[in-house]
Amino acid sequence: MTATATAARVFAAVPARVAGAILIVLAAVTVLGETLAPHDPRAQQAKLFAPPGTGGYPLGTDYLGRDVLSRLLAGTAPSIRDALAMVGVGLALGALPGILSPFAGRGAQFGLLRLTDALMTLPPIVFAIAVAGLFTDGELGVVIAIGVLLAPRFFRVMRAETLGFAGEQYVEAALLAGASRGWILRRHIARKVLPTLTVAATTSAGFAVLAIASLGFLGLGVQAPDPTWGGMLADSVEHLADDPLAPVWPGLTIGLTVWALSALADGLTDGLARHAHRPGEAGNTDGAAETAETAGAAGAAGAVAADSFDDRDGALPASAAEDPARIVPAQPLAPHTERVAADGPSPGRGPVRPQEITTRRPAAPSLLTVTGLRITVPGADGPREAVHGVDLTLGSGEALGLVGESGSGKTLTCRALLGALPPGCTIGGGRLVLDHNDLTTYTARDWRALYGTRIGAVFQDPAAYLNPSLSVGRQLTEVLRVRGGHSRPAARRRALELLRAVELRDPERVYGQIPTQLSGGMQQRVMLALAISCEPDLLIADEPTSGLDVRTQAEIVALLRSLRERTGLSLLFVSHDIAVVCELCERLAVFRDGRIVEQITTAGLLAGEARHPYTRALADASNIQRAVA
Amino acid sequence: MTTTTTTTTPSTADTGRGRQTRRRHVAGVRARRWARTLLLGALPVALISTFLVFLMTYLASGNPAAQKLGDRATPEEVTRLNASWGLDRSFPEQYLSWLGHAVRGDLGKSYFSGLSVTKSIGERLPVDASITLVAVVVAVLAGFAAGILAALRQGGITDRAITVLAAAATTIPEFWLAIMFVSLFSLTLGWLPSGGYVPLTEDPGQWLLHVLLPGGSLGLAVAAQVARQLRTSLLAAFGAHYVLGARVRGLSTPRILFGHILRNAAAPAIATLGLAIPTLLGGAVIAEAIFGLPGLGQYALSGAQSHDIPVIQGVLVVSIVLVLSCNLAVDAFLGWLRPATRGTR
Repeated sequence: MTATATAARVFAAVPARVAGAILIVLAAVTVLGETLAPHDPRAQQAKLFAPPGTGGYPLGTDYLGRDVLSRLLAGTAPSIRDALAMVGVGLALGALPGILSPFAGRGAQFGLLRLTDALMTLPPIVFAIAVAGLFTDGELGVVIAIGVLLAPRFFRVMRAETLGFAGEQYVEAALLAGASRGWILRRHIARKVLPTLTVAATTSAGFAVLAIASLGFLGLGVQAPDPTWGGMLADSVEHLADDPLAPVWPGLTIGLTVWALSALADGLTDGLARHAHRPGEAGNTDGAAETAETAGAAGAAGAVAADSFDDRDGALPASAAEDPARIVPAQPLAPHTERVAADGPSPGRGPVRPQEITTRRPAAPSLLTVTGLRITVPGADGPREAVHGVDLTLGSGEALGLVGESGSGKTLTCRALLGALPPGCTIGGGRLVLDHNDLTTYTARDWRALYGTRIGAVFQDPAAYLNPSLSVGRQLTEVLRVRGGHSRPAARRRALELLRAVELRDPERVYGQIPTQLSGGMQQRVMLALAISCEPDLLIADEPTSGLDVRTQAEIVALLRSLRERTGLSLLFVSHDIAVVCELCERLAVFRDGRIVEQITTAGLLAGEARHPYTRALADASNIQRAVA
Repeated sequence: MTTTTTTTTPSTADTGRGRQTRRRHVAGVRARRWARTLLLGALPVALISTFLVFLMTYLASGNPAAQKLGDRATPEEVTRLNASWGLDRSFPEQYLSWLGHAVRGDLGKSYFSGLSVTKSIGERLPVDASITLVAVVVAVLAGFAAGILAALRQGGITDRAITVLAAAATTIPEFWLAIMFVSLFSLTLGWLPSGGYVPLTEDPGQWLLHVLLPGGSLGLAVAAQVARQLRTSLLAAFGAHYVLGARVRGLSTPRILFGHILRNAAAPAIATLGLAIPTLLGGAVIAEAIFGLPGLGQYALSGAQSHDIPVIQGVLVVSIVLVLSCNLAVDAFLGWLRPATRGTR
């Protein structure tokens, strides 16, 4: 990269350019110093407290009659000088140990990390006061004190960067190829670490300027009568009643300086750090600040994923082996059904409608009708249509399967039916009618009235759709109390019933657990319990079995079937797996490229009546005869 | 902040036998995590930082007796006084004795006034604790209100105003706001006192009036950081799947925001608050100077000016203990807030 190209990237944004201009002015003032000042910054002029703009004093005079502008200009050099010195001390102490620390032994790493933690517990101002008292209250003491406390910042940033690179393939490849550590450090890491180091140094310089001002306020660092920005603020407090404007000028000067440094750091992040991201080299070389900020969240997400994964692997074969009856639906569920019906707090609309258990209603009145649904999604070249006029009907108590490969529009259709299209997606035309109401005209408030009581939903990846921080019981009782109008004890009872109804074996224990303590299959059961808690008429299940192992998948399908039979739910079931759909639904609609290419009954499909070649291909590929038999 | 990274422990297999032991197992894991945080995190850090403090003061201690007794003292008198302070002993002896006393709450006596450092700090600490407490309350209230409002009105005029104000607040020294507030609320409007301190036990109303300006102005600076962080994490969380999950259960927006999103998204903002504690302590020291409050900072400054080693040591040790306890409290709170990530930081 050429220097000019880099500079153009760093100063691409307006704030970075303004910041650059300010910093050039500051640099000039630092170098030229007091020669720029219109008056002697220490000399007392004729007039005390002269207002700004009068008598040749652009910013007026202070309580001793000294020119304020001259004092600000004269105070610039020590601030900038000391800030640079502090950053230099911090870099010298922190950067190299940080880069090398990942290669040190475990004990040394532990010691270094605790040492940086220890330095970070020292409050900078209090520490600087102590150092000033113990050694010298001049500039040297202040520079060393703050510089030492800056070192942990550089240490941590550099350590994180090196750790990030050290594990990357090209570094490992170089190691395997026989390169020495030192060579790798110089050749690869140092070059990539440099941009981050520049950003960290700039940010730290801003911190240093603030610290210098604070310490100058307390009389540490450059000593009177030499002017400092902090010292001017301290003087202004003494004479605030006479001159209320006095603190404004040094305050503005400090503020502009720190702002310029932080805006430059932003520009450097964009121009340097991003640039280090070169094609062919994997890994995140974004600004360290960003890395640090997102690290917590990413770590948490990672932990969640890892946890549920571990759980799934360990838990499920064991539980299934222990209770093979669980995968056989219908029959063993009868006792449950009666119990739930008897205990149900609202007998009229209890979860079980006995008359519906025995009768299937293929000719039931239509619950949901979709006509000509079009959905537009944002694309690289503006919005484009992804669903091109989909027509569907779903009878009351019926189960309809939507099948097709990913990107065929089935999930988008589902989201439209939930009033929850992803950001940027819009309904481009068509009607969604639920019980004679056109849902496309619904406001957020109208939708909320439907959720839970009319429409329930479960999704793929249940771990992501459950609140990771609240216990299963809290999440269930919340819905039951808010949407179902249950009292606290009734909600608790009902929640336990629901956990039992979704065939969790130890409802009391699951009630008190947080989702990450459950296996994937258990999480999906909890999702189902939440979805049916307020007895919806329609359950939208978007790939609820994808990502589960085959055994758990079969259990969830069996559970869904038994729930349908017990409660008379209508089911809209989305899956890319035609075999699973056939097990559960009476009819299916085959999606391809945003259109429904064929709608067919399961019986018809099994009898080989599919007309569209794509449907036949899907059926052949998944060998549904065997799966259903 | 301690950086002990313990991975979330994978749960045991959900077998019949495992089930009975599992609850106990989970509790045990949590207890062990806490032990780890304390033993591998806070305790070594406390030991290292206090050792650094002692080392620093030892290197700089010079000859305090000569300084105190002045030119007319005989060398014998100086030696005797230094010996009475234990300064004739070896470094390890001095350190261990100092540490042993400090652990029991005895920070020694001032070389010059002869008063107990622990007692003197105890008298002054409430001032800084009050300022810091008010600052934290203001930072939480204002920071969370502004952050939530900005995130809800993303891109709107409110959001932009909050973003600009918050950015501006992080570029000025936190005590500058205190000066401007004195100018406005005390000198111009006369609403609040411009200085002085009334202990809480004496008159709670007057206490609040006197600490409102110093604490509030420091708190607003931290509130700006909290608001920025919270806005960022809220905007990221709005798109989270669990939010959609809560929505399709029919929960209202305020309920989802306060009951679900904040609980998961507030952690970085609260961590920011925890990281700001050392800065707040420094700010309190300066606020003491502005408002003429008899606090820890004035004690430290006078101790530093007179080279009073036990005073300097005491103030630093108390600051370290305060910062570490705040960190531990923040850790514990975050663990309660997000049990799924307890111990992973």
